[in-house]
Amino acid sequence: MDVTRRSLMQGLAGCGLLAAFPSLARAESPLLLPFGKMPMPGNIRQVLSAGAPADMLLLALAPQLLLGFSSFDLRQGAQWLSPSVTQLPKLGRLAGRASTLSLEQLLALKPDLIIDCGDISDTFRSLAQRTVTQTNTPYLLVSGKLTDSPAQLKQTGAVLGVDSQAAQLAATAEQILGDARTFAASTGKNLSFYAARGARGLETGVTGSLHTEAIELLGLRNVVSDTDRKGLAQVSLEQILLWQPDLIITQDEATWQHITQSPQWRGITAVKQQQVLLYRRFPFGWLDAPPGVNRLLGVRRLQAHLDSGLRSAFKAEMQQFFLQFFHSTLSDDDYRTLVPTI
Amino acid sequence: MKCVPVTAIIGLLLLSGMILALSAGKYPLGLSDISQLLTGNPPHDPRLSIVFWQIRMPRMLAALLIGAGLAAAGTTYQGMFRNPLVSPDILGVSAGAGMGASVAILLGLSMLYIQGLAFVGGLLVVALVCVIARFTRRQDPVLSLVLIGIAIGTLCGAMISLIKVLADPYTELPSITFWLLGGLNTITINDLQVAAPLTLLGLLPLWLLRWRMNLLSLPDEEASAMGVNVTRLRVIFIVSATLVTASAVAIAGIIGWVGLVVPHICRIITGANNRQLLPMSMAVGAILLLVTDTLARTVSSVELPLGILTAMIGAPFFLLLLMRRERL
Repeated sequence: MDVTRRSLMQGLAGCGLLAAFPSLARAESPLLLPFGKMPMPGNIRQVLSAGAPADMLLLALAPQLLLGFSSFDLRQGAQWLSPSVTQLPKLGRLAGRASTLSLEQLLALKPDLIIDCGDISDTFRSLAQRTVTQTNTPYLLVSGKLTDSPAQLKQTGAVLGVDSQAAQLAATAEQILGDARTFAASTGKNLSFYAARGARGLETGVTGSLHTEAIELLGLRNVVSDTDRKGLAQVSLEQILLWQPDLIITQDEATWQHITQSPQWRGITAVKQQQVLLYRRFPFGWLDAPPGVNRLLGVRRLQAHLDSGLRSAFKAEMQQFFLQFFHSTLSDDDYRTLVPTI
Repeated sequence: MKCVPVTAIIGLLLLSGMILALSAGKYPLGLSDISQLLTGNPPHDPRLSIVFWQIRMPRMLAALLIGAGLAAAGTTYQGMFRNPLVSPDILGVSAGAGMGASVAILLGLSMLYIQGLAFVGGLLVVALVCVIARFTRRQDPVLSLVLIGIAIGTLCGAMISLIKVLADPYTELPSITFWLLGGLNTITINDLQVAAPLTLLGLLPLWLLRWRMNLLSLPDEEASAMGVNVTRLRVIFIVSATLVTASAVAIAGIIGWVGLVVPHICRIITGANNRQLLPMSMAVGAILLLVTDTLARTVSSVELPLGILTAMIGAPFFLLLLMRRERL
């Protein structure tokens, strides 16, 4: 092949572009991104969580190493969790300029490792690198995609030296995700849903957003799609009347009350057929926020709602999940409080 | 001779805007369906009745009311403060309302409380500005009000930022952001039943006393020499404009630029006499917000925040006016 002046220039420009934007050069991002010198598993005694999804991951994997929650104050109103969990303090989150935990507080806590879970874009990578430079504390960034939960649990567990606990959790996650995929291929693909947020229920997650990925995992079609974005959006009730979703799901009581009581919503079949599901935050959300491994339980609950064959076993599964992921024994009374109807 | 065609054109534009707003939208609703619904005949699809009477009609009326109200408040303040850069929220009403709404969202309260706290927050901030202004008697009263309004507004802005930092980034923060960007997608007929009387109550004194607005553009001494109680008139205008703006912000969030740009457009058409300027501003404000809201709900697959669209249309238009006119 002749190397023309044009092809040479194109090649050089391409190399320059890849050097400037390393993310373009990566075909596949790894799940774990370490920054700074990672400590050996046996030397990790204290871990700091940087955000709500990391709270969920670390609570499941190694609560004994967790210095506190970044985003949850469970000292009141979470009686279904064991005291060892509710006594953990709320320390604040690390999120660059939106941080509520200062770097000085971070240094005073003396963590051996900081873990963040969620988005691993260049913005978060640079924030992690900056924190390492300023505090000399190693930082582990974990990709928070729900479908990667088993690998997240296993790989982070290996870093923390809790491989056997991680293997058990990963097996549960794999089971829930596998069943969800099977359901998606059969029943789920025939159903549509609308995820209502905001006081009037007119804020929602667009298809592919982290707010709805747990529901979409079951094959349900999100009625709101936008090719340009994957976050939250506002819609009008007129559009929902046109879309006629089979299910409406919300995690806020005020939203649920408005949808079920407002005359404007009566033209929607899901409302008429009482298919407006309220999955209250307890305080960890079931399907939406926080976008952590807690959503695995939400996926199972929704599948049990849609598949009557799973309903009778759900209570035992939820109690097992609480034991494994939240290290708490869920009584039958507490189960009825948290799940009045599946 | 000149007035009749201009009034006719504005009237025609208003009517066209209303027909467009009622017939355009995501749910198919033709003109024949609309005429059927207006004459009381049951439509072939029962949902058309909900779309028309519960969604589009309240939304159209809200756009007209809020557009007219914000433009009237802007015209009043620009005349009263003798400043072309003044908008209805110069005394901090929007910032106060934003703070009230943000607190309500942070506490997870229902829409009734969000709107109530927004309304009360807006009124309280303007009241605070007026009280502080009473302690600055050595300064020019008009300038004092504007400067205190900016200071208190900035303080409320800082409080909103603090609430945003404390809010859950996955749940409350997006709701606060959407509220601050403004929009009419959540309007219901119940909102209008509360906000419309309050807005009209505020608009009535502005309308009846609009010729006296001209006198406030004179220096205080000259206006007093003509037998006008300047202080009392100023209080009436501030209370009325605040009531109008706070009612608008409570149900629609913060919608910028309408109250700033519309009076300037209308001064080109009618001149600076408030007898003609105020009605013209109200009509043009109503048309502008109606058209903008129709765009916000039709151009994309999801709703565009109204505050963003009014800024995108208002800012270039304002710059154009600045460039083509010698003096504002």
